[in-house]
Parts: sequence; C-alpha cells; structure tokens
Amino acid sequence: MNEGELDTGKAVRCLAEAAGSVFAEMAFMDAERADRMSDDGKSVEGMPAPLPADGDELSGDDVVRVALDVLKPLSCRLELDCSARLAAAISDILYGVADAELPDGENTPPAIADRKSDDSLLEMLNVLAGGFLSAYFGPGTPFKLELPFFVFGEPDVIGQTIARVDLNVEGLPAALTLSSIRYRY
Amino acid sequence: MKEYRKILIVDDSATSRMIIQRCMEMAGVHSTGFLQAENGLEAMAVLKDAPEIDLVVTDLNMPKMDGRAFARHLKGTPRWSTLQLIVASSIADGDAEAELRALGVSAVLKKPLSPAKIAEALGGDL
Repeated sequence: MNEGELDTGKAVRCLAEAAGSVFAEMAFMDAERADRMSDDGKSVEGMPAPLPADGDELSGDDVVRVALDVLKPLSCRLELDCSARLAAAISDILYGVADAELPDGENTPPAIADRKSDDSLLEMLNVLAGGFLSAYFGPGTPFKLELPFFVFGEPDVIGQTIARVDLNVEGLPAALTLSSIRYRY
Repeated sequence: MKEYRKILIVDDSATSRMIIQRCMEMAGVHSTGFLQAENGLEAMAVLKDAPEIDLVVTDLNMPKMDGRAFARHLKGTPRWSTLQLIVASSIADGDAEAELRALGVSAVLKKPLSPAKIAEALGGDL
C-alpha cells in the first residue's frame, strides 16, 4: 500500500470502529481506544480509556502477535498485538470456558479436548480485517486477503506504519497496526 | 418446519467452525448432526461419503480450495447442484455477494456471525 493513498485519520477511525464492534460481537468485550493520538495522527492528551498503570504491557515475551496481509484493493498488513492474558481471555470466552459451570469446590474450568486457543486470535483478526476494509473502502469493493498467521521474532516485512490504534480491552492492552508491506527476501 | 439431515461446515478456522455450529444451534436449526471440513477440497471428500448432507455453510478465504472455487464446483456438479449453500465470510459483501448469488449461493453472511443472522438467512426453513 502506498501510504500516500490512504487517509490516516479515516484509517484510525475505521480500525477503532472495527475493533469495537468485533470485540463486542465475537467476544462480548468492550474495546476502547487507549492511545493518545487524535484521528489525524497528532499526539493529544486525555483519551478516555487509559490502561491501568500497573496492568499488562504490550512489550516483551508476553505479547501475542498475529498478522494478515491484504492483497486487494491495496497491499498492506494488519497486525493485532495483545497480552497473553487477553489472548487467553478471548479464547476462554469464545469456547465458553468463562461461562462454564464448575462443580462445587473447583476453581478452574475443565479442559476442553478440542479447544484451539491459538486459532481464536487468528479468526478474530480475520474478522477485524473484513470489518476494517468494509468500513474504509465501503461495500462493493473486492477484497483479497491472505490467511492470518502468528508473528514470531523479527517480522519478514519491512514497512511503514500507516495507522495504529492502541486499545483498552476491559483493562487489558491490545493494538491494531496497519502498515505498508515491503518483503524481505 | 424443515429439519436438515446433515449440515456441513467448511472453514479453515476451528474456532469459526465452532462459532458457526453454535450459532446454528442457538438459532434453532434442526439437524441430525454436523460435519466439518477445513477447505473446499476436504469438503468434496466429505460430501462424497455423506450423501445425506443437505445444507453446506462455507467460508471464502481458505487454503487448497477456497470458497468461490468450492461453490463453483458444487453448483456445477449435477449430484450436488441443488444442495443449499450458504457463505459465511469476513469479506463477503456488495459485488462479492452478487457474484456468489449468481453461482447459486442462497445466502451470504458477513462475519461476525450471530444466531439472528443465521435465522434470517434460513428464513422459512426454520
């Protein structure tokens, strides 16, 4: 994607909108913007949902990163970063573990044999990407997406960040980043 | 009220297959059971072994054989051409929906799914 072709403010708004609706509809979680950036990308103070000062951070080994490359209508990468605690919470909710009724005296939910916790975050990013693209480009635009994947270590692409939204998902941090793609061969 | 014999859910995400099945159950869709496949190619194999399948719900973006190719193949094969086919995808709207309906897809649902979306898509069949 040529970042010059994209309206950063609109991209930020659409990312935040997609995050809010997908977290709510898929995982029944409130996802509010936690960054201190205005829609035009300039730094401002006092966004409404700051994360707890002593909460999880989006850095270090405890961060789960998933990404998805968009091929049409423009090439770009969408990445969702979140704390391991949030990734586990999403999986628990999707698989109904959070609501499972526990037998008396048990404090931990039962293991679910076919639970695919890793897959939950990939599917959430897939739906987020669809929501973002629909919101940004509007209905009728043909989209082509690659399959979502986990990002480990150094990314295989070097691109510029076009838009980023930091999120407060019920006290846990997450971030959505839209970037240009320049593959490293 | 229509009762389906078997419903086949085709999606490369195990989480998505689980969500689709749960939404169908919550929407009150009656069937004698659900079958699953991870892509169109695998779905073709499942269909060959399970002629009692009478409803298929498929994603679009999948490896090996994607949902469009699967729909085209299904609707172009006489023994399966009358099967009811629904698409559930994060990227299906607008022109994509028109193209899929022209292939014979009876409903196109945008993820995230909900029981209400399923119920609306199956309408009088519930």
